[in-house]
Amino acid sequence: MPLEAGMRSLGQAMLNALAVLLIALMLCVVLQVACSFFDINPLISFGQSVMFLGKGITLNSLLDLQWHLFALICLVPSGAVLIRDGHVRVDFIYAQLRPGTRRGIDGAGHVIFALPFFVMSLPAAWDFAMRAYRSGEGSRNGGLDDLWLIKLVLPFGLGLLALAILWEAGRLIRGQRAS
Amino acid sequence: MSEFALPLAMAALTMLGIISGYRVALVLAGTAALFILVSDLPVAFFKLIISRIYANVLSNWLFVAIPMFIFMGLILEKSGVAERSLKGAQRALGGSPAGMGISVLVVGLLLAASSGVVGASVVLLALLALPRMQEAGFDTPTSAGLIAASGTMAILVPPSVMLIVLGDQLQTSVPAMFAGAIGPGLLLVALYGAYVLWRARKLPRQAAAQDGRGGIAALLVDVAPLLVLIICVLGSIIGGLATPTEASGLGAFGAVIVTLIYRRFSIAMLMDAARDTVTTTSMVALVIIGATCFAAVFRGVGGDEMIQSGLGQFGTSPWVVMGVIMASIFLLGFFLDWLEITLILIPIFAPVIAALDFGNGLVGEDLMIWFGILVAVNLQTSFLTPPFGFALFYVRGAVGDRVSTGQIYRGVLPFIGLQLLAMGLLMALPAIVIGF
Repeated sequence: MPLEAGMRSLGQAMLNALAVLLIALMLCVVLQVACSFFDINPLISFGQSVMFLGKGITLNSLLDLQWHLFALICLVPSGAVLIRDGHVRVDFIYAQLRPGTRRGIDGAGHVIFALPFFVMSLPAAWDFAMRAYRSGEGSRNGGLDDLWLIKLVLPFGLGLLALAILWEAGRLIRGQRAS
Repeated sequence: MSEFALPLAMAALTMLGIISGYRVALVLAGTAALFILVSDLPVAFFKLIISRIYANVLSNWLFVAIPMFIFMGLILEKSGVAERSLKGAQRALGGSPAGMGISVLVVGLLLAASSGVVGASVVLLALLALPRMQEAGFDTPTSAGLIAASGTMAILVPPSVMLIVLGDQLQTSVPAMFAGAIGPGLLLVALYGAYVLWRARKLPRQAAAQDGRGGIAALLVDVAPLLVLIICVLGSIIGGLATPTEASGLGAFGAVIVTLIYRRFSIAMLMDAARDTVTTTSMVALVIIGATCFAAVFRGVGGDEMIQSGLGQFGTSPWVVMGVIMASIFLLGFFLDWLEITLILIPIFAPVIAALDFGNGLVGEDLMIWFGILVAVNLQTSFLTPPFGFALFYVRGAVGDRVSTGQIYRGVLPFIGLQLLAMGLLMALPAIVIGF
């Protein structure tokens, strides 16, 4: 069915983009080590403050960029991984069950565990990012500016995960086996 | 008991959810959310949890090393470099049954030191080494047991992802944890090696392998770049030249260079390894997030007091308390992954251990490192223990019908015995951990 194929290729495209970010993370670490070895700091200075970067690219910008990329890699793929049924299960019983029973477990799990979690975490995560946005929070050590942008990863990543669970719940209701 | 009704109910619901087979991370996070509603914790408690996830997980620069070490291992595996080293070692050492067994052990150690995750190394060893060990005359259970046990060393031998998370929770430095794991890792290799030699003593010596034994020079070509990479990464961390994060990034980059040297590099391979790394990192991250939620609420409803008062029932003798803690980690290891145990229970156990005097002169960080390594060997053992040990599933999954589940179970039993022997030695002789 087209919707399902669309979801899967969207997930695949997202994983590819994040794979590129992972390679960028590796190169960022290498660049940072090289620059601190040769004592190059700052790498680039701007005359005035530039959006997101602040007044120049320093070693601390590279250090900040590393955990920003890490935060993206941790949270953004969560939904795509769920669609591929990647998240860890302890399946020594689950694997022996009939498909109908497994659907029952997944459906009950969505209601008992996922629903309360997202009801509580999504508003809290959104508040958390918005508070940083209103106060214009930046790096405390001359790294990257606009910290709210990376804090927005929390509600964004959790939101994608919630959407993936809604999608799976829809499939469960229609009676298809979770892939 | 009624004062502990909430934490008990919380633990029970979590166990039920996990064993039912629903996603572990969501069971942990959902239980946390439910028990905020049930208990008298304010709803705003979740804001605290969110800022803790941000501060302790997402902006934890140390954890950047986790995807980088996974990436390094996957590059070496997917490019075929790891396989090449394994075959090289087999050619060089595999002339006799004992040599074949030892070569599996050596390569298991190399794989362990080049990746931080168990799955890949067990599968690779099982695919490549099981047929050769059987040809060399080893019985199937012993072969499967050796492969599972060597493969699980990835979780103990630095740069293990588990040691990074354990060090973070115990507030010990990661280089010190890595250094502390080297002695125990070598001890396990020595014990496994002695067992393999003993099993091999009656096996007939095979005619030297036909496919041209190239001797030391060929072995160096096959193994040296990998060895140099591992030594550089671990050496720079333990020697204090680089932080774990810096060394991990350079290690992944070094792995790319090794694939270039062997002419095994391709963009498709690199992207494949990167995609799998992203998936694995996201899985690990979600479990860490779920466990962070769970741990905060569990403490909020008095779970840490429950566990401490439970430990108090066993008196105040340090070794009894240590024994109870180790036994409970071992038993919980049947159901929970190392990650949940490390994130939820270790912060509760650590202050208990820190307040004890074991009469071996260990205090402060040394005591925590010794405890951490004991926990690590313990959790590594739980990977091997039937019926739910992960390594056993990986062996079964990799070799399919050639080995029965019963044979794998029988095969790992002697190795579990060796693990327990090693734990006893590490408890009696902390110098193995702290001496390096």
